Amino acid sequence: MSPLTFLDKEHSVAAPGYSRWLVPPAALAIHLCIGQVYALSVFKTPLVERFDTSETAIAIVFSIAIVMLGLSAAFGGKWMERNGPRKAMFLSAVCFSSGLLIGALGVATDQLWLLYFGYGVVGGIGLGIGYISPVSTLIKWFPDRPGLATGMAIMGFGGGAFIASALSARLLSGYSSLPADAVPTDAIVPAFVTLGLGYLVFMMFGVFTVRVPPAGWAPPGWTPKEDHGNKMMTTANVSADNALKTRQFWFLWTVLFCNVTAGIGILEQAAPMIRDFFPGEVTAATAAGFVGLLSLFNMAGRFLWSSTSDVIGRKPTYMIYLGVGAVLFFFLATAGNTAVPVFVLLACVIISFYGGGFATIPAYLKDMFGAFQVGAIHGRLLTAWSAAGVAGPLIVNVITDGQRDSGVEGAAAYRPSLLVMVALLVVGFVANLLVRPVSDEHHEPADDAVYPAPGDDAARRGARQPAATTTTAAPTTTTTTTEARR
Amino acid sequence: MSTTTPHQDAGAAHEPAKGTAAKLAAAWAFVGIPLAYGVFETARKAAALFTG
Repeated sequence: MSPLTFLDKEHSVAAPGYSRWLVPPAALAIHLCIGQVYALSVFKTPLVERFDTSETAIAIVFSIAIVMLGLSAAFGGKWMERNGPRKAMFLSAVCFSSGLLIGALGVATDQLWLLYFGYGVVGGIGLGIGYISPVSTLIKWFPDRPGLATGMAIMGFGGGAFIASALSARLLSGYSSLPADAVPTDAIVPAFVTLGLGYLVFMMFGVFTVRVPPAGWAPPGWTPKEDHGNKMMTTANVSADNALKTRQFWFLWTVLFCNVTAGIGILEQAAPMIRDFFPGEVTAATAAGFVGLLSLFNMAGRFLWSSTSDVIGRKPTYMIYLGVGAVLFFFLATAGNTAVPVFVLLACVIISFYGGGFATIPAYLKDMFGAFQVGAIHGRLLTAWSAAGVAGPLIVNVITDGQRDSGVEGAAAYRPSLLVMVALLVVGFVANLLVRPVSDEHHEPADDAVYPAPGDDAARRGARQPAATTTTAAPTTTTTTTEARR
Repeated sequence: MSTTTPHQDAGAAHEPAKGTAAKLAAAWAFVGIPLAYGVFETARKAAALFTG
């Protein structure tokens, strides 16, 4: 027997007595590590000096990693659903850690392509698989509070950047034998190796801790919301392939794309933007503080807004993100330069909506498509993130540069791009309004349980789940509830 | 007709196993402490916004 069989889905079913509250820390163990990608900028200057190359050449490392994140999340989702979270987390840990180690080899041997391949390609696969790996499992453990559960995990992605940023700076200064005012080029390799090995250990905690719920498991006393008349929460299931054929998927893709594009547009330009809005009033240190504050609101929004969506519903939550967001963007464009506190307050709330949008989308997908392959569907939806990652900065940079070329300076230079973001958010708002329950024709056969037994492909092929024999009045699986509706 | 549902069987998982509280505390501390460190460091930087 292979020593790795413990990774199989069949071997990660929770034993009696397992607490579902152990799953969020397992998910956080993955997301807190892979969030490091957003702190890669700490290594930017040392890498530029080490390779004696341009900033653009080093920025490509981040771009490759993000593209690979999107691709691996999109294409690895179904594999992840088949093999379970433990194997996916293991693969993510190995890839992400190896990516850092191969990257260290590239730096040590002055081979930039090896850094691209290691951190960008291999590490990027670890990012994508790791990002989606706990989502489906969390939703299955927390069908009563999916927003809270996924919010906790996806909050970790933001928190991971905080940890890595502080830790990387300490590692670089600690390992460097160069003078304190010199760029610590000699510390990149040991820092990468330390991070690679440290993250491997940390992520393995997630691998060993995560469990999938037993077939038919549901929280005590919980019944699907649809039974209470909420048609925006299905108890049926849609496969990842079928989801792509629905309008709902593409409306939600548009919703995520618009929300993320607008948020990235501000995040990417935050420091220069506040200084241009208040020339002579905001120093570089203050601007850096503003960026830090935005990061905190980004992280907090992921948890708070996503949790709130469990109470007020997913569609109303996105109406707030996109509708109120559009109004706030409009005020930012037209009145953002009246006072620093006004600007900061508007930007912070907007960024909390940006983070909330990321964290709430898995629960929205679960509401629309069921829990069956929600991880794979989420992975495919994340292509909207990749597209927004290109569109957001492009819109702001191209329009703002064009304004400056025309002699417009200060806050006025940003106004047209911010108004474009208002229009984008309105488009997203309309797309959200158009989201309706998925038509029955896309649903999986009623025999498929919301929580199919691990590796229970037989269930997918039509073998009836024992839940069909239940005599309980509280329907807790698709089998029972779907039949009850007939 | 059986009156035992799979959910009730699986419901055994609701009965916390011995040592669950300790496991939960350790697991949350394992991820919570680094996260708190990261948040603290970021908040320290963000404080520059208010201190100038």
